Amino acid sequence: MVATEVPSFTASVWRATLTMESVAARAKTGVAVLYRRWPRKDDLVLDAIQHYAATHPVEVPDTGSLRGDMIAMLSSFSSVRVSFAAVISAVFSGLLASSGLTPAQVRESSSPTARFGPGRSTAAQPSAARSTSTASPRSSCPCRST
Amino acid sequence: MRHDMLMTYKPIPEERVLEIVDDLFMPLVAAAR
Repeated sequence: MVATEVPSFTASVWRATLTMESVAARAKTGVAVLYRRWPRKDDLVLDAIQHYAATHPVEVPDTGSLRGDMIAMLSSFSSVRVSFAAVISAVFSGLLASSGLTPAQVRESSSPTARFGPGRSTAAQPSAARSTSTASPRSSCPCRST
Repeated sequence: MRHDMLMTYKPIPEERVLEIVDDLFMPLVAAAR
């Protein structure tokens, strides 16, 4: 609940002005509740990034060709994540400065693998796996079961 | 794509997506096979 408030809030307010008090007021909860779960503001922002990624998954379609899959997936990624780009750009510089993390470390800590465990795949992996497991276009293969 | 999104805050145009797939991604896949 609280994590859902942060992305929209940080989109309109520069991260430097984002305080635990302002998040608590917007989420209609107490500051102590926030600090119990997120000891630092950086933890809250990182969790909000993870939450957004988890609740706005990129569709991985099966169009029958690797090229088609990639075009559809990138188009989906573009439309689903574009609003998030504004949020990220607003919070990123402040987050890096105060947390001491590198951009790669932020990406790693907010990746699906970090959130859900090593079994979780990236968005492009299913399409790539389908492509490598079939030598010919799947649309011409009548035996395909899925 | 991320660079374009961060620079414009707008969805990537379809022609840009096609350019990325046809000029960058598919040649890399073809070279790896």
